Amino acid sequence: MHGSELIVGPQHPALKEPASFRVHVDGEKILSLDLDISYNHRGIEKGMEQRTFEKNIYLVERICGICSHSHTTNFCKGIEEIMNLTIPRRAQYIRVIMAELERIHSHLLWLGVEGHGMGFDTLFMYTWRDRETVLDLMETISGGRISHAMNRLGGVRRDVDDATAKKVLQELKFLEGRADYYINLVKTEKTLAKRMKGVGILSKKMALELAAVGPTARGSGVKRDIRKDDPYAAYGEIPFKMITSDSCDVYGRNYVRVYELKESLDMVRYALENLPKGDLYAPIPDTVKAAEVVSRYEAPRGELFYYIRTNANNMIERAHVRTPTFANWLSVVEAMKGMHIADIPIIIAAIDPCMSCTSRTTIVDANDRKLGALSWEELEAYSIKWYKGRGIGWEK
Amino acid sequence: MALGVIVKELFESLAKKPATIKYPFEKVPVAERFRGRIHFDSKKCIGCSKCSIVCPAKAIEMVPDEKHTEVDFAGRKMARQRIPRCDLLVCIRCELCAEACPTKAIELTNKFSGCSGKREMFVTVE
Ligand code: SF4
Ligand code: SF4
Repeated sequence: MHGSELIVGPQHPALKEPASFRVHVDGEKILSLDLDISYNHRGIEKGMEQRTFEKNIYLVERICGICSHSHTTNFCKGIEEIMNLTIPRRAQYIRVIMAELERIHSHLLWLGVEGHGMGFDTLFMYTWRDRETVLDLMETISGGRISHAMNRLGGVRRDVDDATAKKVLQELKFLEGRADYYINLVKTEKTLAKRMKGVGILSKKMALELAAVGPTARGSGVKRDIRKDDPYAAYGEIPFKMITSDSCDVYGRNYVRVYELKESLDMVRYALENLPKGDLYAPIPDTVKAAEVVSRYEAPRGELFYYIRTNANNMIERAHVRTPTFANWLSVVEAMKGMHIADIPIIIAAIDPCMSCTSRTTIVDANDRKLGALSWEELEAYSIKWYKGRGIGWEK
Repeated sequence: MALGVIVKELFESLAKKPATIKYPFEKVPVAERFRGRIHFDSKKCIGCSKCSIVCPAKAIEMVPDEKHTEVDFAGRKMARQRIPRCDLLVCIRCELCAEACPTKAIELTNKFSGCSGKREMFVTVE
């Protein structure tokens, strides 16, 4: 084959989850990408078949640490549909409050990771400091920073009382200021723009064809958001704008996320100020009929999809989970084409992969069969150096 | 970054307190609702096993109550046969047990749940 092959991943369980990328390169240019994400089978779908519904909530909560609330809400939503339940409005609003706080913390986390990947560590420190505020708020409401255990079948477990609401509203002011700061940063920071504009191109046509979801799709001008397309919880009542960008590159995905920070903050504020009175949960029936259901949810990274089939024994017969990162991998393959090796970290980071650990890279030169190994950190360092050599970067 | 922005950020940061705390001299503040170490109230527990049944992590095992402690339940006196024992390293602090307990004998305190070099770390009724 012409050119050589750069192997990124798959193993190093300590960082993120494993995935393997085989990047075919010609010099600095990326020709194509082969992707293998079959390294992290945890058997959760099978495990769901052996637990009661209530216990399953705690299992799905642990599919992802960042979107734990997304998973439980989507699971409950599916089972509630089978049970034909009407969820009290207060519970719906509380679910939205948690969901949007989760989106804010996820986007802040991502912004930091992305900044770090580009050598912009100040951004990393700022966003992760601000993210602590969001996590503290979630802890105040739910009692857990990451595993909130907020949902139950039929509603939510914990209330947002007036004192908590007041505290959250107070902290929101600080976060709103920070969101403005990040929006301004993305709009005006020249080096950021140089690293992101025109990098990782995913046209609208390709985004549609490859079924991209979430900010990846919206960054390519695709109007796709489950909160608008198929409103669940209280999203039908809470006003918000769908943010899209026509720039179709890493910059577009970035733009969507920082503006979504602002939208989410507004939604939390609206939900807290208009929190309806009423019950926290509806009583659930003892038995569930055999049925199947598809449940969709807009997680911070895009559409989260659950397929659940129940049987007459009150158990799950088959469950399938499709996470947004899974749906977005194909768009990474497309976005890599024609880019430089130095752009790999930022293009992968731009789908915000709840990804699998790519902490090791092996370089195989197809011509002289030399083998070498690079860690993810080295690849990042290489990318930062490569751009610095071209005058784009932040001084240390 | 334009120089003006850097200078502004610099002075703003100098005027602020550090975002970090001086651990271990300063404790990490935890929320009031924080779910930490589990606590069983010996006076209230009647040994009904409900907590053990609902626990999604299978952290609670029912063990014999050597003392056969006399407990009160709905006005009746009875000798307790079994008591719950929770493995803190298995517990995911979901609070389901506390919700299921008919006598409200379980509480998730806001204390640190603990760590151990051994494979198990038990708490039982106290
Ligand atoms: S908090 Fe949850 S995991 Fe821990 S003992 Fe209670 S039910 Fe089990
Ligand atoms: S702690 Fe509560 S639920 Fe558990 S055995 Fe005692 S009384 Fe029953």
